[in-house]
Parts: sequence; structure tokens; C-alpha cells
Amino acid sequence: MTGAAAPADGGQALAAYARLRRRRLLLILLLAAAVACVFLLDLGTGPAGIPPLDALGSLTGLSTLPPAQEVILWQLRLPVALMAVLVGASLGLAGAEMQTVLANPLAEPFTLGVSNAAALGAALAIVAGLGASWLPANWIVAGNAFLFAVGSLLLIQLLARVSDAGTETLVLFGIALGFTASAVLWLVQYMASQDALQQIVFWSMGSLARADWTVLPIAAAVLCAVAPFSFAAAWKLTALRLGEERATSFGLDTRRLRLLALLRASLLAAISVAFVGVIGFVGLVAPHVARMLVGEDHRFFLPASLLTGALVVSAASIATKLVVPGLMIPIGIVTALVGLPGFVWLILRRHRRT
Amino acid sequence: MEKVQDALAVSRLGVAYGRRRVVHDLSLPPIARGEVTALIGPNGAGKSTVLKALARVIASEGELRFGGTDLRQLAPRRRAALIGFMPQALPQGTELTALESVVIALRAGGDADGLDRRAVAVLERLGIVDLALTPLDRMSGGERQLVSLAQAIARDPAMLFLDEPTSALDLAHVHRVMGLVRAIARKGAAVVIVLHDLALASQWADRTIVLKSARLHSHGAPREVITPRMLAEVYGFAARVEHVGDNLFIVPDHAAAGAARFPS
Repeated sequence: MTGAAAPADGGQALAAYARLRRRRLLLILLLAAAVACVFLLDLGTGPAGIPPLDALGSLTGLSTLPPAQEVILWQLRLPVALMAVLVGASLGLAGAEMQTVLANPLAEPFTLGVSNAAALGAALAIVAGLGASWLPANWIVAGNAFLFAVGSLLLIQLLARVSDAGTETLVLFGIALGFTASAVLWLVQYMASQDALQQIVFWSMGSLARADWTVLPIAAAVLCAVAPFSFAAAWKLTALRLGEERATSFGLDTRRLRLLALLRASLLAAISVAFVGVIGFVGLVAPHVARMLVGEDHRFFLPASLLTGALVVSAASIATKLVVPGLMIPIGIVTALVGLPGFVWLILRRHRRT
Repeated sequence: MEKVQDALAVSRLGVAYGRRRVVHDLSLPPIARGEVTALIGPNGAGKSTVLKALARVIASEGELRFGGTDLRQLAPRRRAALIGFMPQALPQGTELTALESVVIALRAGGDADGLDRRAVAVLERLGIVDLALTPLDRMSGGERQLVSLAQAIARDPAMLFLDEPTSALDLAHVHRVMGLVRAIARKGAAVVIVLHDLALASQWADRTIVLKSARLHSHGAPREVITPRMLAEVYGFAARVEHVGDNLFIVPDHAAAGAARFPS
């Protein structure tokens, strides 16, 4: 990975390790810079052309745009672009934690059925026309999606606990639950009215267009509340990569560590799915890319995965506006289309190396 | 040198996997500090399970005392400071490097100072500093086994439990590792090591504990324990045992071994 010759003595090893850490830190800073650049590009992309630098000027208050463009930037573009970053970061971090605690490179909210469960929750809310006078309808849809996502993970946990099963079984439970949720979702779609069906389909494809200033603070708050706990557990999570028994011998309560990490991941995933619908493959691909860039010391791996997720969804957000001019296609389609070849490439690369 | 109150005392040990009870009411002779104790027995005798129970990696019933301390009552962190454990299974598919894995062994145990320097020193002790920045995933089985041992001994534990630490090593490394393990014991650690190679056990261990079907069959100095009778009773294997100096040779009784393999 370093490309350098093997260290001949302890001094060389220490120096090389220090270099490696500096390089990883630099890569993380570069990732953050890339996220900022793509975010600005995302702001500038759309039918009404706003040059990224002018957008930056308006955001920082250094300059102003024509009134119409100000409205487009602040009310339409900015919430969408910020949501892309937040959702990507949340899914990247959730995927990283899930892959580590389940010791499975395929684990992510999508493959574990959390996303499907959330989609089912949303569909049920849409079809049942759940409503309350004091709450907007799409909040109820989001809330129900969130409940189903968290509920599905708790159910998986409960099943694993009752059967005293290992992490592999946990993943299998998740996959089974995902298929079940999908089947029920089809049933709901089959029975739904024309109008509700359209809403459900649109919802399950994932769309950033639903982002506005009312939901953004919630997504931001959840990420800000959860991420510090993830980062604080970095050492323990890294120890888990050495195996369950080894981590236990270090004095770690692996069961608790896993439970808390899955809880954090489901919160992040559920919030994302609730507000923008199902976005697949980000939680899968981001940790893989992060691992290639900075290795598996979670002090670097977790932030790198978070930033990679943000980068991927931000870039996908730009793509949704460019593929068909004048039309914003659902972002779930873009991430899946780009994610699939990316995923195959990752597998091939892994295969070649081993 | 040996003080009984400083030994690991194991009595009425019980282990269950779910509802399946695999070890029941097992008491062992005191495992003294300063000595290497080999845990031997045929496949499925419960060696690894007993070792994990002693290292408190899996839950168990019964009494487990080290000196005056009840290991079962000890907080996980404090226990981890006393115990080094090397599992038989090696980590799979991890990008962590050898150096990182040893740093984590130190850090996860609660240490915080000079981790890098100390980790490098451990690698040097095992002669694998050249592997410091190599990801575990790209190492041979033997190299990974050495790194795994490095993690177990990193914190100079008072008790060291090793599950077949030399199974993937070449001849030179086997003896280098066994020499190191004995040196660690001589400095005052109680070392328990699961071994399949009885010649190795007789060469390097001070004491031998023989398990059969998760029960104590016999124990004592290797010379006294590894006998044709024990081989017949525990392994169902007919052989002579010959001693040449410190070394022990097990010479199969071909007629009997053949008969055992192909019953007529």
C-alpha cells in the first residue's frame, strides 16, 4: 500500500508509519476539499445557470445575485445540494459501521433490508392516507419510514439475540427481511390507487427534490449527534477487525459495541431514507473506496467513508440534472446505475489481489 | 520459584454453547507462573474451549482464581491487562497493518503512551519488523500467526493463552517462537499453550495437561505423561515413545496403526 520498501529496523518502521499517517490525513483533507468543490458545482448546475463562484459569493455574503437567481439558489438549489452532502455522509458512515461490526463487506442499509423496510413504511403511510391536522403529510410519510427502518433493525437484533446467532446469521436475517419488505411493498403497490402508486414509485426511487429548509436541520442534527459517538468508538471498532475473540480478549464488550454501532447506523440510514427515499449502493461503495484510500484504522476510515459518501451523492446530484436536460431524474437511479459497475469493479479488484 | 498462591487455579469449570454443554465440572492442577503448560489431547477433546474459558473470552461457570483474584469478578479492562490470548483463527480480509494491529492491542487494552514505539519493539522481538506496514491480508499464514502472537504478548500479560501458535510456522520459526514463549514464562508469566505436536510439547513445556472428552485424563511433566499407555487411551494410537536426550520420538506401531485405520 505504501509502495515503499519494507522497513529494515524499528526506526525506519516508525518513520514510515508516521509518513503513512500524514498521507492519510492529507487524503482526508483532499476528500473534504473535493466535497466542497463538488458541492459548489452542484449549486451551479441546473436550467438557470449560476456560475459556482457567483454562488459562493452569494453564500458568503460577499456579493449578490439578481433577485430571481437568489431565490433559485437559496430556496431550491441550496437545500438540495446540502441534503445531498448530508445524506451521502450519513449513508457513508452508516455503511462503514455496519461493514465493520458485521464483519461483512456487503453490509449496508440497502442490503440489510433497512431501506426496503423504510420504503414499505412510507408506502403504507401514503396508501393509508395517514394524516393529522397539525402535521404536513410528507412528514408523516417520513416519520413512518423512519419507524419502519429502526423497527427492522431492532427486529434483526432481536432475532439474532434470541437465536444466539453470529454476525453472518444477522446479515442473512437482514436480507430475508429486505425481501419480505419488498414483497409486501409490491402488494401495497398492487392494491394502491393510481395516485398513491405514482407517489410510492417516486418515493422508492429516491429524490433530493423533497429537500427543503424544514427537514434539513433534522438530517444535520442527527448526523452531528451520531458522528461524534462513531468517531469516539474508532479504536474499539478497529479492534473488532482483528476478530471477535481477539477484541473480547482486549476487554471489549463486543455485543454492546455491535448493538450501539447498528443503532447509530440505523438512525443515520433511517433519516436519509425518510427524507429522500431509497438511495442504494452509497453505503456499500463509500466504505470500500475509503478503505482503499486510508486503510482500516477507523480514526481515518470513518471520516474518509463519511466524506466519500458525501462526494458520491453530491456528484450523483449533479448527474441527475445533466442526464436529461430540464428534467431531474431520481437520484436512486443514478447511484444504482453508477454503483453497480463500480461494485463489480471493486469485486474484480479484490479478486485479483487475493 | 513456583508459588502456588501465584498460580491460576481452575475448579469445576463448565462451558455451554447455547444449550449444548461442552465442558462440565472440570478441575485442573494449578497452572504456575514461570512455567509453560501444554494442553494436549485429540481433536474435539475441548482444548480450545477450555483455553478460551481460561482466557475469559467465552463465559464459563466454576472457579477461576489467579493469585488472590477471582477472574470472573474482574472488570473486563483489568482482566485484559492480566491476560494475553491468541486465538486459533486468524483475522480474514483486513487491511490493517501488522504495526496497527499491535498498536490496537495496546490501545484497546487502555494503554495510551508511546504506543507506536512499544508496538515496534514487540515486532522487533519477534523478528518481523519488516512486516510492520504490510496489511495482514497480504501476509502468508505463518506471518499472520507471528503478528497474532505479537498482539497477544504486546502488553506483557501475567497470563498468556496460546491456541496452536505454531501450526502454520516453518521449523526455524517454530523453535524461535517456543523459545520466546518459554522466556516469557521464565520472566514470571503463566503460559498455557494448546499443542498438537507432542514432541514439541515435551521439548518446550514444563508441564502437560491431557484432556480427553473435556475431562482431565492426566497431568505432570511431559516425560511422565506422554507414554504409550496415554497414547493408546487418549488418542487410540498404538506407538512406542523413545527419549533421546531432551527430545522425544513417537514411533507408530505400524501393525497396530494399520489395523486401527482399516478395521477388518
